[in-house]
Amino acid sequence: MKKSLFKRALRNFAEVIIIYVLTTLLAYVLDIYSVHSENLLMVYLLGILIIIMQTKSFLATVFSSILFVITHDFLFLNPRYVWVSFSRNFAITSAVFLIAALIVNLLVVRLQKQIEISKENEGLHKKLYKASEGLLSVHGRDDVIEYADNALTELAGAEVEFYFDIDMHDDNEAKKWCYKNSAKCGHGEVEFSDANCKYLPIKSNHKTVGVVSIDCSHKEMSNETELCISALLSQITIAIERESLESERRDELQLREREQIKAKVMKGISHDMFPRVKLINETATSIKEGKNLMEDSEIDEKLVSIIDNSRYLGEVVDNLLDITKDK
Amino acid sequence: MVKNENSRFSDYLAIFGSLAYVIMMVGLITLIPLLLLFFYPEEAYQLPCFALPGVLAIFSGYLIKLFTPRHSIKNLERHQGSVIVLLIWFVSILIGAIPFVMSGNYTFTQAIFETTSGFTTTGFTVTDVENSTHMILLYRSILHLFGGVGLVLILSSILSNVYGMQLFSAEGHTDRLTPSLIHSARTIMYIYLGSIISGTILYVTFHMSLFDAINHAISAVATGGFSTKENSIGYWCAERVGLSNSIGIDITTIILMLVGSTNFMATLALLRGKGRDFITHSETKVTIFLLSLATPLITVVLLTSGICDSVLSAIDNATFQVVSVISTTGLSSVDNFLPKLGYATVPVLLMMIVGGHTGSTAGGAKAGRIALAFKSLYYDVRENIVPRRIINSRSINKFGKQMTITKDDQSQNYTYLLIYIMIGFLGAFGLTLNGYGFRDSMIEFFSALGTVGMSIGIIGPDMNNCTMWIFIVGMIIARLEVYIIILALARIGTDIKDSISEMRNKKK
Repeated sequence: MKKSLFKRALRNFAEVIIIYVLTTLLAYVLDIYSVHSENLLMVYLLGILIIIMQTKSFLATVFSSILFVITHDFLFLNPRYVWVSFSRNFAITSAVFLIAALIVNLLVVRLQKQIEISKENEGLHKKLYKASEGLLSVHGRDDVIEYADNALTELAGAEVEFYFDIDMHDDNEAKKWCYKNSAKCGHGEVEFSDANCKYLPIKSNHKTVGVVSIDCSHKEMSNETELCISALLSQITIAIERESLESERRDELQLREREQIKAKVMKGISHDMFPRVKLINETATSIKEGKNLMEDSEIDEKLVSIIDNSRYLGEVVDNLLDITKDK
Repeated sequence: MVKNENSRFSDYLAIFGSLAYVIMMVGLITLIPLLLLFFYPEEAYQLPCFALPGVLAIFSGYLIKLFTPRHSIKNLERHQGSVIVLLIWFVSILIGAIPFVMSGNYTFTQAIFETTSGFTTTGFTVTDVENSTHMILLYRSILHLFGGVGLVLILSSILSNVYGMQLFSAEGHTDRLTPSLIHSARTIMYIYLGSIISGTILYVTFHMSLFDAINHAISAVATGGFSTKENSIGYWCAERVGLSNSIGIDITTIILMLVGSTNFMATLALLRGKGRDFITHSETKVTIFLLSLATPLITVVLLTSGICDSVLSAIDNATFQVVSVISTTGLSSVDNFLPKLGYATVPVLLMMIVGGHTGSTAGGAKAGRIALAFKSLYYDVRENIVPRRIINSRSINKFGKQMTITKDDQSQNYTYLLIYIMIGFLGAFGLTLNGYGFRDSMIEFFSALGTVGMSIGIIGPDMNNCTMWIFIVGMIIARLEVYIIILALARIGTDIKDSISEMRNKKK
């Protein structure tokens, strides 16, 4: 850390010197072409602005402001090449230079910070968009949870764990509290602030279906990241719900199909059974009513028909019983 | 792929933005001669000539970098690399010419001519060197220094650029010394600078002043040809510095010129002890062949014409001049060398056309192409003579390895050589239209096209502007190699055509 600070300071110093030399050279040349000293001061102002843009360092800004004013007074103000004692003009010029430089420095540093934040947010939103897009194409509850795990880990930049069907006898009090109260807790929150992880509820239809924990021990989570995680969690919940509904729909469909097949089978069987029952009934009735008038062979024939049909019916009933047993 | 107007515009904006570093680099180049003010304070009146363009170029480049969008070309499209390389050279020449103009001793055309001659390492000059300041003389050598190794190569070694390799190849550096581009570029720089420093030390040892030593070392290694003296190396003759020192200076210059005109990979092979690879390399063989043929011939010419009065002096000067021509340096140990040659100008002209090695600072059509052309000719003739059932493989030695020659390679090579010769004739024709004789025009324009810089008499301060522009175009074509210019112009033309048709469609 110290080494990088030192390197940074050295680099800033080198940049200041290079810009100082170039600015002084330009001012000197312009002076040869009889440009007024006030305009030469503008050249130095330009130099300071470039130093601020390059170094973004408060110290470099202050140092260069003083150095540039002294150099300008020494080289371009009469009497030249003479160190004048402290004067009112020198004081005003120095003060104005310094204030202007500090204001610009502040603006540049803030702008730079905003740019960095903006870049970071852009990165987050890109990850969020990618994750949301992926959730649309993943199917199956387990696959959705696995995908969600990976997406959240990438978004948060930390270890993430999903918990469904929380056991109230679990040792983790923070997890249980989050689940029971359907509110976030853990690291950085009011409840269980000393925990290493942050716990967020997974809500669906005003019901908490689970909890997700995010490891905050290595890295603090920014507000923007937390917002993105919440947004992604809602989408994950929707995806899980979608998969549950899809699963239910599939079960229902299966059941309906099964019923339809059963009805078809029953219909087929009754179509097959009814004529045979009718035949047996008619044959038995004809024997009862006309047995004195019938030959023995005719009676035997009708009895055989009755036996065959009733055997067949017996087999059908046996098959039906077997089907119900398999179920 | 046809790009839409907006992405094409932003690509060109990104190209323009990438020139920011070039402008800053040229600005820095312009400031270097100011260091001489510590040694020659009496030349302080020339400070604005270098300081103003230098500082303004650096500031302008910085502002362009700041204001052009961060969008960068992730991967160069077809021939965009050539456009960038061409722009880099144009911008560098324009900015580099400003100190000459501001000095008051050059017109705009003369300044562009001198700068182009410097960056392209040709060595033609309109400068009165005996009456020029040290700053101007050093500035010319610095142009050689940066132009010789290649502006894009210097940029590549400083910046780690996404499209660095494409630009690196687009400028004509086809071989990579090491797998890494940055490492390759830096290795070339080390060989280059190491040679210059060694040359300077040797020159000083042989009683050349430090200022002259630095300038001539740069001029020789860059195969440029600018000298601080009217008589070039011939100024340090035996009468002035003694015979041994004079020969020492000549030999040093010969070695430096050969180093500069040798392929950097071959030089690296030699430094790594792979002498056999170096000797068997096809380009080395061409150079040795030409040297052994031309040196005795020129020796005889120098003796018979009375230019040299002793055999030793004739051999020394002949070797020097032949190496100077073949390396396309253009430094001279003999006053008015070309006009005195007579019939021997023909082999000299041929050597100018051949030039140095590919991947070196030298110009010309390149020994590698000539070697390939003759090898192809040999294989074609052999194929017609031997029975068809015999299968002949076609190969050429490259750094000790046999590389296969394909029909494509042969055809492209012949095409390039044809274009080269055609441009030479075209330029010579242009000069004849300005009133110069055909022989002189041919030699002078091929001298420019080969970046040799040896003059038969056309080049001088009293040249008209038209003549100078012919030479300027010739020198640029020579340095960038004609394909880059053709491809760049083709690309720009295509983009303009697409833009116009898109604008028409929008109106409909």
